[in-house]
Amino acid sequence: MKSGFLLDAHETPKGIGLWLALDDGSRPRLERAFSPGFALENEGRKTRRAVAILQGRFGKDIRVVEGKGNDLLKGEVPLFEIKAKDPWTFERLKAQALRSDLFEGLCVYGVDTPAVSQFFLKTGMFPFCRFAFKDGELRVCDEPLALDYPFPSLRVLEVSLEPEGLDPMHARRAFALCLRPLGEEEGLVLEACDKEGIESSLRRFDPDVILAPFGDGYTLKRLLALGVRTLSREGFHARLGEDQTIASYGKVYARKGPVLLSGRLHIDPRNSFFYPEVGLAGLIELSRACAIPLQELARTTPGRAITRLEARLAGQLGFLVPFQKGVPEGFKTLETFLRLDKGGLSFRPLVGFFENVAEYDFASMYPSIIVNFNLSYETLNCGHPSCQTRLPVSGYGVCSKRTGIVPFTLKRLIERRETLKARAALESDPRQRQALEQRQKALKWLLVVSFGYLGYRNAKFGRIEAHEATTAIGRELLLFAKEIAEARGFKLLHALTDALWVQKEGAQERAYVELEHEIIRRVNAAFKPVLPDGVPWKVRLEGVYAWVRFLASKAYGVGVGNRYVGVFQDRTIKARGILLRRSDTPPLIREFQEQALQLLAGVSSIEGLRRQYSTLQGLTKAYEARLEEGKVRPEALAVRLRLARNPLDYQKRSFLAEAAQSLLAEGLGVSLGETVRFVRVQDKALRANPLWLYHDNPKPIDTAYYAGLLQEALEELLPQSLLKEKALP
Amino acid sequence: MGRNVLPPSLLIAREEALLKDFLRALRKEDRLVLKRLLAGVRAHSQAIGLSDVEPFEAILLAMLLEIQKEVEALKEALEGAKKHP
Repeated sequence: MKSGFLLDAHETPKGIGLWLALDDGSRPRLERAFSPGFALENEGRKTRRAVAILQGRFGKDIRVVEGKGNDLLKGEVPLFEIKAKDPWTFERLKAQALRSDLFEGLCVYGVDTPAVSQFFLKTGMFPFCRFAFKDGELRVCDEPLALDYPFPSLRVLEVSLEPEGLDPMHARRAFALCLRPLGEEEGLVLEACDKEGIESSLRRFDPDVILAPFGDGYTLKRLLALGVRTLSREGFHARLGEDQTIASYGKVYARKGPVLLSGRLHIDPRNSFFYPEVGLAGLIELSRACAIPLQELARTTPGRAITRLEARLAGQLGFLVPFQKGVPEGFKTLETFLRLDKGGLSFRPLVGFFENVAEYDFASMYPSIIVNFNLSYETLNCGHPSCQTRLPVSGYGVCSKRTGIVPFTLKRLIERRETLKARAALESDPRQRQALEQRQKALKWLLVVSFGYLGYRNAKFGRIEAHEATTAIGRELLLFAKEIAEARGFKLLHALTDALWVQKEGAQERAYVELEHEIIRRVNAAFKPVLPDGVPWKVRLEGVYAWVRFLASKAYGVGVGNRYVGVFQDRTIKARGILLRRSDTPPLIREFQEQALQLLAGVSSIEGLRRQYSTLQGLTKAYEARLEEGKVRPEALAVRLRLARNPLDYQKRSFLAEAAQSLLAEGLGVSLGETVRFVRVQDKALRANPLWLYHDNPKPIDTAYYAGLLQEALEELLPQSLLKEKALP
Repeated sequence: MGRNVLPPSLLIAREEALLKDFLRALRKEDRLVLKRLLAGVRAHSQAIGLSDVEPFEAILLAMLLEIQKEVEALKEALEGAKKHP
């Protein structure tokens, strides 16, 4: 008997293709016949008519079975289950049905659940699951949410471009390829057109994972066009997706169409949200938990991942997954609307430098609210006569009989993350610790977006009332904690959504720890979970700052919630909203501010900060001198901005517009949602030089601009005005 | 879905915009004083956003609060000056 793990799964014309990674090192492929499908609630004549139309169009390619299923809201409902003979027929069926108005007004389940996900649910398989393999039969001996699983032994090959650092889509030059097995110092550099060399190297390394920055947009597409046959383990088999532009939280992002390989897993770190955040261990954690094949997961958003996890758990519990939830927002009075349609509580901090300040954070505040108050689309105002529980602040009714799908999912994530964090803290092996950290961080991202998805119109299990109830309880929790602190004589400096900053003259760490215990005790006593299986409220003393500075808004002079910088008593630095945290800050400025902050990390008082001013001024001068002498690499000067519109749609001559338009003039494609890197130069005709243009034709840099940024970076940490001020209490 | 009620900062900005003509009709020196008063209001945006009274009423309360704080600070300074002339 052999054993191994599931490397990848994908749809084929007849079923599902499975790539196995056996422990003996072989990578066989199996194919399983599979009939994916969906269901329609039998609501009478209209449903029967829709089913008859589908039968007329697809004939023997579909099979219709009458049965029953469990709707999350309605309970048991009669159903028509429509099974396609294979995944490709399912895709045609889905496309035709969704394009027409065939399903208008009908209750449809699972039509948007991918065939692979349906296969996983039916067979109990999931990506990276351990199995025993004998006579072509697989027996899964693993659980998706098992905490201890052996990290799959994968051969990882990095395929990067030389020279590094340039976006190949925005540079007209030849690149070489560097192939380097992960963890090795030296790589093999090959000409990008050396087809045979690349093929034989891939054959020799035989990687399971190909890590290729710009792989989706450039590298792998070029290699496929060149005719490289060994990218996939099955010759030319690669699935290509279309480029996309997506809008999220007011920003526009360009996503390159994916290149999905067969038998190998291609990750493009430049086209992945998750990989740079959580690494391979985090991706595997999520791929297992959400049952999403790794190549797809690497390119998906946390919101999609958590929706798939919720849908999978709903399916496992025997519930039907609705295609579109049929619960519109309930009617409410204008007064209620104005009272509840609000976000988290955000104070304006007191501006200035403060010593001996404690920061407290509610751990996973919103997910804990969702779990403890059972907030899900099917549990709010559930209508059960026996459910009389009312939520605090909003007064909405909530089900006290059954746990909702969203809290059911989040409880598992919260507990799992807590365990992983605790293990990471105790782990002595740095590699193991890193893997545990990556796994808990991956789960954190699901928890972070879980709240936002409650209010998102396309979320399967979201509902605006649940969203409103969450923020309302969150505001109440924060005010409750603030009142406890103030009653004990602490002064509130700042409070933001789930965090508090307080100060008390002469307070020692013990006083702050006691306050932490009191907040935890009283919050747990006052905010009891609706159902017995809640999670405890956790408030952590994040630390006591030796000093912290809350910065003012440039426009109004009052404090800004998320702009502060400080050093904890253990010398850990915490900075938010200052230049080193901004993605558009040139690396040189970031480096300067980080270096300056390191110098301040050893300072324990405001008086000490004043004494450091001349040292920091010296550092600023040294950086200015480097600029004047032209000793700075162009990459370190690059400003990185994202295009919020197409380059030609810019009305004003902004620096970004200039750089993007000059790329277009050079015949290089650049569009909405892409980032452009440019260097500010002393040239009135083209003040912002795209990076590669600057490389080819360097011009005198705009030293005044960069020197101004250095001064700004210095002022953010240590303003000149501090020298004149009297020390604050 | 999504938020429809303005967040506190935009609520204050909207109320300020309604005062545009009022500000225009003031003398410059008075206008500057009122602008300073309005700027101080932003320090209490969370309370304005959380209150159930009309936003402008909450803004007036925030102004009164800032004025009272200044009065108390001046009183304290005056007391200090009397004690240590």
